Amino acid sequence: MAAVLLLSSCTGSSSQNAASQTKNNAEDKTKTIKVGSTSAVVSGLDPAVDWNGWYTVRYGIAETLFRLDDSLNPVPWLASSYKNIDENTWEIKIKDNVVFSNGEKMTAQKVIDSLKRAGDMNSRAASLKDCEYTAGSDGKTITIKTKEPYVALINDLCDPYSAVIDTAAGKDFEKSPIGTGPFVISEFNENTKAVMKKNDKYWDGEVKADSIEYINVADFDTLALSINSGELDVAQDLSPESAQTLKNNTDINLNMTTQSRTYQLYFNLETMKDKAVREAVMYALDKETIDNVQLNGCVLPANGAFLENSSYGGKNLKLRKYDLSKAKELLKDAGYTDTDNDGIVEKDGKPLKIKFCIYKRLAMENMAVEMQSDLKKAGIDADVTVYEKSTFYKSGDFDIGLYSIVTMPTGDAYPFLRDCMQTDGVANFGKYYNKEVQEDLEKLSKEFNKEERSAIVDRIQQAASDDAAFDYMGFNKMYTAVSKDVEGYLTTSNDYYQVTKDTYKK
Amino acid sequence: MYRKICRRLLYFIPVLIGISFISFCLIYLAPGDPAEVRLTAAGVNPSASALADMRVKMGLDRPFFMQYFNWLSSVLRGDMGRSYANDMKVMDIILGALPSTLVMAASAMIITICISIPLGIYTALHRGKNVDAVIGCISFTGIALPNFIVGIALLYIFSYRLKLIPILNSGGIKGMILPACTLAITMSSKYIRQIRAAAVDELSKPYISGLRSRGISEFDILFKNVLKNIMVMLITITGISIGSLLGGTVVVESIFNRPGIGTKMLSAIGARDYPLIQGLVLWITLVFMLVNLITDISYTWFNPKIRNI
Repeated sequence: MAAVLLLSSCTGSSSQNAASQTKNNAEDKTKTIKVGSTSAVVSGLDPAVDWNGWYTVRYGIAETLFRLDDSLNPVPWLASSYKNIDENTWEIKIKDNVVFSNGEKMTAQKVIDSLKRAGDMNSRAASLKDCEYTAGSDGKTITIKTKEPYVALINDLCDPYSAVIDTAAGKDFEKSPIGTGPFVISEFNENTKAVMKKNDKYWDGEVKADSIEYINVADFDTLALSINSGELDVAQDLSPESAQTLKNNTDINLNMTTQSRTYQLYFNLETMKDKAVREAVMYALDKETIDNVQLNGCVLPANGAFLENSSYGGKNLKLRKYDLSKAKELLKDAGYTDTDNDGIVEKDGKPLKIKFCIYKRLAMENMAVEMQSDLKKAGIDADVTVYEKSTFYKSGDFDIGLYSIVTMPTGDAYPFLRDCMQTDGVANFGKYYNKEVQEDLEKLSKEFNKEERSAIVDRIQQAASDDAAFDYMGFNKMYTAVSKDVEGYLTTSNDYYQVTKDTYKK
Repeated sequence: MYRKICRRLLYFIPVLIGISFISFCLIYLAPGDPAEVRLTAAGVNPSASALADMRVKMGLDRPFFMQYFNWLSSVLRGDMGRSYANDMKVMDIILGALPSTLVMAASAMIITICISIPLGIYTALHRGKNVDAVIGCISFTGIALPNFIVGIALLYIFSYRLKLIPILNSGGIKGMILPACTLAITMSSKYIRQIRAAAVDELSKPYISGLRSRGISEFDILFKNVLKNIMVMLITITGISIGSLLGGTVVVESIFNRPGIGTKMLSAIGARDYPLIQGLVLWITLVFMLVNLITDISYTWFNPKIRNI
């Protein structure tokens, strides 16, 4: 299979002419942009249901009050401004010229109806359910009163579950939600295909593309062949291997976008009590070489849990860097020496063997092999166990483990830190506890000042690193192949935004 | 005969219940929480309260036997439940995937039969000659090649290079050619060898010499005697193949972008989607039992010595 795909990449140039020819001959007069991915289409489009909002926003059907910029900071989108009146009260002004695709004006009351519906229907939006909403008499002011201080409200209003739809229009929200975006759904086949036509009534100007078609392509190699042959204009989320086969195609731009999805390294503090061993593991892992060389650059080495260009990038953090001799020294000082010259250190006659657990997700398996090799150089025998799912974490049956997680889904650091570091956090798999970290987490949940929040996040991350409780191997990079005929297709670190009014095919 | 068929159909009920119970137990015992899988679909940790709410909503907070009997009683009322992954009706999901699987299975089977019967008998008639060696060599290569290699190679040649067929499934007959051929190439390779072996065995029997000495034409010997006698074996392997094909062919469905029963089963297992897994298990069990029944009935037609089905 690899040989066949390699062949296709090597002979790419000769076939490109043929491909372009066929493409031109058969070119759709309406200039449809065809986007393929292994998960391009799901079972429904109602933004309030599960994760479907991600697709409603990606397809350009609906928009949110705020959106995340390149640094993952919320900026107004359908809203024009906001004010934090007191700890529990927010005032949001919405844009005056926004209309839904059915021509209805977007009023404050319609936004409230949509947000309430999301709060009622989506368990992730439970905080929106407990709020009190008031629409101003001017029709464009929304006042939200929260029960508890809700610091991340504006961030959460970037989450696609809060995409604004006209709840009074129609009932089939799963197949034809009415939003304010540049496109309108015209055909939807569950898990197969979604076709959108341009919204002639779009509030933010003329939409350049006539239509967009999203197609599920189940196999990565088929996906790569499809864009190579010109049947697709965009191939989203390619595997690193299939992306390699497109490198010689001069008609395609191959983009790599760093996501806020990190490969987090957990230490089980109940089974790995010796801090020196945990520190040795951290010093022994050469992240730069693993990510940039051995994984062909499909992972960006990380310094902390959050992307460097975000507000919580942790530029002042002092974290451990790769230092093999330091790792060996730490082990030696802790009483570990290689007495039988087998390359693995021993203490009290017992070799240093750790249970390294991973599950099948993205580049995790390849990464684990390289990590195992690095650990062996330090004299640590890491026994890698590969699971189907991440369920082994809950039982605590691991010494170290990799976890793939989006750390800033809406640009705020608190939910991630709470989940993995708070004593009762849902993802505190390593049973981490540090009194000062707990206090800082409490402060963070109530702190509204951005600079102060950033400082608290740094303190928490620094303490967790000093305790050798967590490490971060890197951020996942997403491969997207875009035909050079297509302009304005977005690839962002949060992966919410793809097509806009300015996306078009030449 | 009708009474025997009715009796066999009655046997289906305990078998279906038994298999559904075993599969329910196995899924239940497998690690993985369907509520957690659903809430972490996009890679974000769910809150503890969201997880608890989802478990209640999905009925996962109930005891094992209650979950199974709730499911069973719904099925007996004709309701196979809703998918845990996307809340769609299980019946709708299966019916949606079925046409693609049925058409692909039928096309692959027809191509296989059309290729393998003539070639199998031809090589048996010319055993030991060059043509037998060449076809034998091709058959062994076909058996050794996995489906995904054949599929990708066909896509590369006929879609990417020659541009005869679109890579992405267009939904028409054109889109069915390559997946059906992929399945047929592997199956035909096996069938040719099995038909050849059975035909060689049949042709070496004394009655063939008798027929030839009485001046019966070679065509009549082959098609009225040899073929009829190897039919029982052919029907047996065809029945098994049809059962497997209708149970889904994940790799081929995936390469040719034709989501069918196999793809649904794979994604349902990944999502720990109990209702969908159970629905698909029932479907696959039913298909195998029906195909077996039809196979057994057909034996009596080709070989009247076989009385009991």
